[in-house]
Parts: sequence; C-alpha cells; structure tokens
Amino acid sequence: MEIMEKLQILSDAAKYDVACTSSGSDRKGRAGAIGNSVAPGICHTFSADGRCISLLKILYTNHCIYDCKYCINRSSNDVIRTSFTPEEVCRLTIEFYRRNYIEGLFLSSGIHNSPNETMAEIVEALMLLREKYRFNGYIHCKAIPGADPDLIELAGWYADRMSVNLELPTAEGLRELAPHKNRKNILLPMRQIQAGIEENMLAIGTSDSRGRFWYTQRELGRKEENSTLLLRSKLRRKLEIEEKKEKENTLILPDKFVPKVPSYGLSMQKEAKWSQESGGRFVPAGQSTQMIIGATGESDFQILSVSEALYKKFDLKRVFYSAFIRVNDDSHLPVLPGGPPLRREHRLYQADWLLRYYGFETAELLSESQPNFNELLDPKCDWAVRHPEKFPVEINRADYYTLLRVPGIGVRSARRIVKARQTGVLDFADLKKIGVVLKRAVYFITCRGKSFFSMQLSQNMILNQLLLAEKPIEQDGMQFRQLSLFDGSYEDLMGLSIEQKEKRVV
Amino acid sequence: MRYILQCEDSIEGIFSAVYIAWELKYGHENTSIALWDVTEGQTPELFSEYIRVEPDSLKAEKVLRTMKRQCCPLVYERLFHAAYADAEDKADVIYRYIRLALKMGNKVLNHLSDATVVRMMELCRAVGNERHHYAGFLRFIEIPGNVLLARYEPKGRLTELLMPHFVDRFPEETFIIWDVRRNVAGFHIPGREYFFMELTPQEKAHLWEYTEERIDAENLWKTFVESISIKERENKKLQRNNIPLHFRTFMPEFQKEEEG
Repeated sequence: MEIMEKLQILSDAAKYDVACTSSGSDRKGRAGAIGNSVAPGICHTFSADGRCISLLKILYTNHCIYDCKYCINRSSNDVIRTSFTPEEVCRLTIEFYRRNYIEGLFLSSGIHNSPNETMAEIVEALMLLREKYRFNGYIHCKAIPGADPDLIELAGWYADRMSVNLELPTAEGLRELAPHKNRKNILLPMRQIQAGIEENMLAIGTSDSRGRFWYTQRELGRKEENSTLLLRSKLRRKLEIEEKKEKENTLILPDKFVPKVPSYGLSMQKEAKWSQESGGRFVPAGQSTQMIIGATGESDFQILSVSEALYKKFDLKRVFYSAFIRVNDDSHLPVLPGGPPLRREHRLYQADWLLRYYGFETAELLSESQPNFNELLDPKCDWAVRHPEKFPVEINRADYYTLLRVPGIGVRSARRIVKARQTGVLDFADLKKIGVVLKRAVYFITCRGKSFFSMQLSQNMILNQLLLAEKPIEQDGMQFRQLSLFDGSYEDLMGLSIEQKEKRVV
Repeated sequence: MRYILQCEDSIEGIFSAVYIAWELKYGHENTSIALWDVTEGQTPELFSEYIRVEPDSLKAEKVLRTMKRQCCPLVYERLFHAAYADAEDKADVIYRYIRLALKMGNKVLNHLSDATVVRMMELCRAVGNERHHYAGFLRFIEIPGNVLLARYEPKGRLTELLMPHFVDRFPEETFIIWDVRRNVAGFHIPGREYFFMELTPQEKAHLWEYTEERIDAENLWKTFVESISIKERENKKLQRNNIPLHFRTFMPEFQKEEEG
C-alpha cells in the first residue's frame, strides 16, 4: 500500500483521539539533532472542525482484536486495515517537522495481536525516531493497558507525554460498551506512569511535571502529599488483586509474553540511550487521559467527579472530553438527533478549568439534586448567581482566588488586577483596559466600595442580564431578548455596538 | 510651541529620537516622537515644529545602555517588542514609557492605571501573539541544495524574534526566513551565527520563483489535514477565528489544487 493511502487511513482512524496539545515540555535544541519543545505548546494549523493541529496524530495500526462498540476500528467492522512501519512513521514525522507543519508526533494504535506486541511496536518506532533520526521535538504516545510494565516504562523514557484512555467515565459504561477492557486494567499503567514521574522528579529535583491542579491545591493549602513509596505500594497491592482476577477473567485475551511481577521502580533507563543524552527525564510533560461524553448515561456530576479524582489521585495534566459521535450502528449506542453533544462537552471543559486553575471543587458546582450544567449559562456564572452571599467582591482588596471566582475575571485579568493594585487604585474603566469582561463582572464587584449600579439588583434580574450577555441561542429561528433597564452609560462601558444598543433600548 | 521629532521606523531610528528628545531639553510635555513615514502623509499640526532625526547607532545604543542599566530585563524587552510592532504611535509610546520607567523604576511594569503603560502592554501583546502564531503558521519549502525557505508577510517586524526559535529548532538545517513585506530575510547556515540581509530585486525574483522540491511532502500534509477533521463537528467559523485568512497565504493546506 502507498504511504499516502496509509496516512489517509491511519490519520482518519486517529481523529477521534482528542488530545493534540504539544505543551508541558521545555527542551532546547541540540547540535546534531532536530527539534526543540516549548512549554506552552504551539498550534500549527486548524482543521475544518476548528480544532488545533499541533502533532502528527496517527495510529500505528488500525488492526484491533477488541470490539468496542463506539469505535470505528472495532474488530467486527469491515474497514481496510493497515499498519505503518517504524521507518515510515519516522520519515513522515521528520519531513513534516522540517517544514514546520507540526510540533511532533502523537502515536496511538489499535491492539494488534496483543497489548504487548502493540506496545513493543510503539516503543520501536519511538526509539528509531529519537536515536536514528535524532528527533528532539515533542512526542505523545499511548500506554496500552495490559502491556508489560517494562515496555510502558521504556516508552516513557522516549515520550514527552503519555496517556491511557479512560474511554468511558464509569466502570459500568466500560463493561457495557467495551467488553474487552476493564477499569482496573486502565488505571494500572496510569498509576505506574505516575509513580515513574514522581520518582524521576525526585531524582532530578524538580516538580515541573506536575499538573496545574496540584499547584492550585497547594496554593490554596489543600494539598496532600503523594509520596513515591506510597504510590508503589498502592501499585503492588493493585497488581496482586489484578493477578488473582486475571486467572478468573476469561475476557482478557492471552498474551504471548509471560507477565512477571515488576518492581515498579524505574529500571529501564539504561535501555533508552536517548534519555541519557537528553537530560534523563521520564514523561516530562506528564500524563493525560480522555473519555467519551454522551455514549453512556452518566451525569455531568459523575463525569466531573471522576475528573477531580483523577487530578487528585493520579496528578494528571489534563482530562480530555470527547462528545460522542455515532460512527457505528449498534443498538447499545444512543441515537443523538441533535448531533454530537458539543455544548455539553464545552461546559465540561469550562468546569475542568474551574477545577484546575480556579480552585473550585466539583461539589460546589454540581450535586445529586443538580447533576447537570446549565445549557444556557457557563458554570462559573451559574455558581455565582446561586451564591449571592459571596458577593460583591471589592476589586481593590480581594485576594487572587476570590477575584477568580467573579464571572468575567479570568486567570490573566486576576493576575493583572493583583499587580496593578500595587501602584494605584482601580476603577471600572481601568478594569476594562485590563481585560475584565465587564458585562459579566459588573454585577458582582465593587470598586473603592462603590457598585456600578445605584440600586439593589435582584438575583433574577442579574440572571436575565447574564443570559442576555451570552450569545443568543437560536430556537427555531426565533431570538428572544430582554429589555434593558439601564441607561446608555451601561452600554458604553460594556462596549456594545449601536445595533445592539438599539435592540436593547427598543 | 510643540516639538515633533520625526524618526525612521527602526530600532536605531526610534531610540536615536529618544536621545535627541533629551538632548534638546524642550521639556518632555512639549515633545513627542512620530515615525516619519506616518507624518509625511498628514497635514502638519499648527504651532508645532517638526524636527527630522537621522538614525544614529551610537545615540540609540546610549539610550539602550542606560535602560539596560536602570531597569530589569522585562522592561528592556518591552522596549524592543514595542519597536517591532505595527503601530503608528509606537515611537511616542516608547518615549513616554522610558520617561515613566526612569521615574518609577521597574514598578512601571504593573502600573496599569496609566494609559501609556496600558498601550505599551497592548503593543507588546500584539507582537508577542503574532510571533507565537507564526512560530506555528510559518511554512518552509525545500528548495534545491537542501535549503529550507519560508516566506511570510507579518504585520510586525518578527523575523528578529523568530530566528532564535528556529535556529534552536533546526541547528543542522540551512534555512531562510523572508519577510516579503519588508524585504528583509534572516539566514541560518549550520555552525555559524545567523544574520539578516535586505534582498536585491534579482534575489527577490529568484527566491519568489521556488516551489516545493518534493511535492509529495506537501501532498501528504494536505491529505493529513483533511482526514484528521471530523465531519460531524465541522465548524469553519471556529477555524477562521483560530487561523484568520491573512495567515494562510503561504500555507499549503489552504491552497486550492491547481486545475490541469
């Protein structure tokens, strides 16, 4: 098969993988090699669906022994199957990279014959790319659940980031739609990678592989220490349970490699030549995972609780959410007439940011009685309207994390406010220049003790104004608008256009 | 009486004018600096004297040395970034910012209730954002001799800022980054210091002619960009927000196939 056709098939098959970020690693270029890596990541282009492309995202193979009902590559599907060779993966990566098309490689794979064989192929490709082709740019690869821990560790010495797909938010969902996978099997390599990262950071004397969630918790004084030793003992305990189970569980396919009981320390580094010359880092950009939203019946509350637990217990860098797309006609899969649940996915991402950067907890945002996010209002606005007792916040005095809880104030503007206060007193007009979204913030703040409005605003009135500030959702071609109670100065400050003003004044 | 110093749009030009502004001692409130390309097209202001300042590297260096000594690297970096910006008022903003920085020291960085400081932040943000965009959107083609060539039309003067990034990234490649709009190119040859050159019309015409030597690489890339997109999520508006049309001129994935 021509390389062009392979690329077409194996990138098409990889497109449902969400993570395409190239962030988290800062690595200078080196003489005799090609490539570097910058911590914030770089987007190289955007596909027609508006998503960032920064990595060459491909499957190594779309052969698969599993039959996951939601997946285009399930074994029972009749699709053309093919595999790259390690050389092909390397040549594509290098030729794309030289032309500045990409930041690096994202290598995932179907399960070819066995988890071990698949993981070994991934490792072989990475080894070749790093050591023969001298590639020093970004690499993200999958850890295949069920593969030998030594192979997973070896991959970690070559990759910047690794990820294990959680696939579905709960174990029940997984049982229903991915009968060959189980939750424990997925969490095991995640734990192994976490323990490896911890140990490597300790050896190097850094904490730069940690996720944002960890930093936020520490700044808020909420952090619990996860020691490497503790992680390893947890791992061993898990493994013992696993082994017992494996004997009973017939769904796990037999591996041709004999599993051994690993020590779960980092023992493979000497096998990875590249790692010694490049600073000896193990998965320096940390690990991530992803789950499908809307294929199974979980609520937003359940999903976000899972994410929070993953951030807390596994120190993940990111959890990615992927709106379910019905690629297979299977009676176990829901039919979604409105298309993939993109708005829901968007709300989950917003909430995910609130957990990692803003110090919110899931229990503050959702509960058993209110299990799903408001379609019309973003999670922070929604929380703020329900908590009038927390407001107004005085801009010139409130601490950083209190400012962050105000709708319309983000990480950047909160930082700027804290800095700007050192040299002067801030007023509403200054906030606008700083980048605060006043049309949201104005109901929740005071500047030098003064509110923007001279009267008391009711909860309902604020809610209506906030909904108005959102982009209107068209319903059957009709748009609803609320009449404004405020005079022109409000519109001027909010920077509304004349057209919007006229609509509002009526 | 107001005094308007006219200067060339370059690091040398702008900072030479700043030097002259101090030397003339007309009082800072009465003095402003403008780019001469900008003032040329405008009707002169009443009660103003226009003074043309020639770029002088010694004078510019004196100003920069003073700033380096007096302020932290962040302030110093801002001055440079602002000078690379695509903004008519940048010379005057830099002049006013320097005055503030000399008065209040490094605190000027966070003095966001001042209009000059806010404007400075805007200029630097624009340059920084554009630089970051082009770090991703710049495209090289391979031309004969294994040389990589990138053509682009940035708003700000970015080549100076982009060269270090690509030199670090491609230490073993010979490459050229050519700002078509300003006709300045950065050159890198392995093992040597990179340098900048203005191109002659012949060189320009020559470089303009080249197309990708190995067209298969470009075609593979186009195939990839197309197949990686999810049809059910198609959102051209989002795509356009993320990568506005003006970036796309030299990006192969956005070039239509040429018919027969």
